[in-house]
Amino acid sequence: MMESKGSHKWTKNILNELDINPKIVVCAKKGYVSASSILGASHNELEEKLGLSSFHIKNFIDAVTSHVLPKKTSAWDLSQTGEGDPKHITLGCQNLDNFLGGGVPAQGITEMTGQSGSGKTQIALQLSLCAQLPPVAGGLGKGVAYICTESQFPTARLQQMVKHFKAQHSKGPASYTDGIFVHHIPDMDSLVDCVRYQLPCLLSQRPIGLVVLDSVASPFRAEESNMENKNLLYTLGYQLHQLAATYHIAIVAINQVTSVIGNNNLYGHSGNVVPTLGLTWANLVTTRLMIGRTDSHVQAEQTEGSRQVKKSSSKTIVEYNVRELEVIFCPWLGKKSCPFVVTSKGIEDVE
Amino acid sequence: MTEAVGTSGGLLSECGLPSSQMMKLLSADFTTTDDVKDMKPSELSQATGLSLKECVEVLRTASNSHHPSPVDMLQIYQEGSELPQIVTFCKALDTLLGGGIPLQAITEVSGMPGVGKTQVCLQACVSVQLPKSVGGVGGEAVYVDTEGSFTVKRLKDMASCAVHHVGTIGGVAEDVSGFTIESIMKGVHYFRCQNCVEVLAVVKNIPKLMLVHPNIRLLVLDSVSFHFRHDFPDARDRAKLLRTVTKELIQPAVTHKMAVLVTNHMTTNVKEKGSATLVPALGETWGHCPTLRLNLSWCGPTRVAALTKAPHCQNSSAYFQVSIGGLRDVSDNTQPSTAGNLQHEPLNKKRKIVESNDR
Repeated sequence: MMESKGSHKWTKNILNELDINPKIVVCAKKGYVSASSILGASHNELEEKLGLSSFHIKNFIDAVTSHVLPKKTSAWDLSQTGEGDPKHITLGCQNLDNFLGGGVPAQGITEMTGQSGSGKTQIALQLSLCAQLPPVAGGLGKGVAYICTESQFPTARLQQMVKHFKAQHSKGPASYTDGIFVHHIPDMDSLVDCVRYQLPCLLSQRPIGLVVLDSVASPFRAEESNMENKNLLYTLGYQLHQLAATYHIAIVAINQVTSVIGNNNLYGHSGNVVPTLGLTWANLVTTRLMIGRTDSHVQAEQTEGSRQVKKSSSKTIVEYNVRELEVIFCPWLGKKSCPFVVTSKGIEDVE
Repeated sequence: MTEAVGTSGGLLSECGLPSSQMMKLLSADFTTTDDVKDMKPSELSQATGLSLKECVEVLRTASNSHHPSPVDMLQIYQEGSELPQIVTFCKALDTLLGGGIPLQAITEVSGMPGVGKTQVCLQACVSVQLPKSVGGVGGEAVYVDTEGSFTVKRLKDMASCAVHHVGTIGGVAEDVSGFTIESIMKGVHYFRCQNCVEVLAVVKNIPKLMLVHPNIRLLVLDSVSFHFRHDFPDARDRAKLLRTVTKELIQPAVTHKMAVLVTNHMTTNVKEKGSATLVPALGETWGHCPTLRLNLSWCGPTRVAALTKAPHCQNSSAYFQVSIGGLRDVSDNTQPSTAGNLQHEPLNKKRKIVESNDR
């Protein structure tokens, strides 16, 4: 059982890793062996408990500080290396990609929330395919871990989408389905365990670039909203962030909505629905996208993907409900929305 | 009120030396650290009768202690009001803060996710670097990122607008021509912290960092809550680390005359009667630390900043917006704008920056 890399860095014994006077090590073994206990204590406390001079204590603290200190860089360096640019996964739709500045944000946790049937899972499936495209095509060139908490993974729908996707995108893996690892986890305790133990295992064994959580709401909504469960939810989100930072992956979490009476404007989004899981979860979300149906429709000819069907008489006109993708908050995107439709091919722009 | 003793170094009696050593030092007329600082251990040993080893220890302790001599209140007040402030480019917000984000103080910015806490931090990183000749602080910034919200592109956009505004004010001062997008980006030192111990290490390392970059005037911690709300293996550890960070943040503010800007999450505080209010996270352990508490929220489609704790400003609020170029005022005749509507108002900015210069 392997927790995510680095989680024990600050609680384990680091005395032997430091370049300090052995006299300090002998004294510190009494109870100050981890970075958190050493840096968490004041200078005076350490002097008193270890019985060493101020000079030695200062050296001790300096050594631990240097050992733990993260790399210093500057905004300029980040801009030069491209490290500071937000990463994206293309949606395979030009309008949507342009609207989002390249694609669905792949930094921290991106949440997709909205009413049932609005298209959240559809977008998640589309992303699962797009993520496997090479970076030059806007993907991550890696596989996907898809965690289902509500119902069965929509295999048939995915197959339908893969057929069209392959025709549209030449660069990509031979088998898209081989690159998607599906887990079914219905309850919250198993979900947190999965994120803490099983996912890091998977991530260190396979090239995975995206983790989809469909949905994060379902396991928690069924439970009581008490302090213990809130802490568990926070732990889930926190661990997901650690995974994202350690393994450089994108996290997409699907959330549900609940109705509010009156005008609820806490998040700057006035509407009659609000994402579930409250503030505990919202504080962990880097980008919040709201998906919904609108009252408009567009018409298009539904053509079969197969090129053999070319008879002009067999084209049918289909009406598609125009959906809306709205940015509720994102550190680098303004609040705006963009329309799209869901077709047999998957997610498509509205022309 | 004590008289100003001047800058003659700290008292040896406050350095924590054993009393036997103190007796010998005092009887040899050594009272302040200045008295011993240039001496050799052998000289001190001869003068006081302490052993060579003890003298080495005394000299080390004396050189390490930083005990400011007592200063009278008038001097502190005068110094404080002469310090420039970090403008936000939003006049209403600057007025609310009494001129801008203050140096030598800890300012907390709390609010719901997405309201603009990180945007305030990014704006401050640019504004702190405004040249002194136009009334700015002319200092550098340290950004401690715990959530990964720091966006280079946003900083660059804000820097670009700031350079443009300073350019319209004109002036041939050297620090104005040196105020470029590149210099601003280089002046923001960045640390990505994955846990609270790394946050502590960065804050404890500030004095060392100041030796290499003595011009740092802003320390941003975005956010203080992210790592500290995590369920630690041991809850007592969390409380202790939080208390330590709280204490450690005061050092850069006071000793190095920095502005410390800290963002905080909101949490629901359920009262006994069942009603719930939204309050900044981390409770009282953290709550007493900031000098200024600014809360951001939404009023319809407009962002609002409210001062909930301030030593000398009246509690009130200000509307502001987040545009491509950073924080700006909400204009009367246009709708609160989203990113994409850059409000170029060079004349207003000129007046604002000149005003801060007059103070």
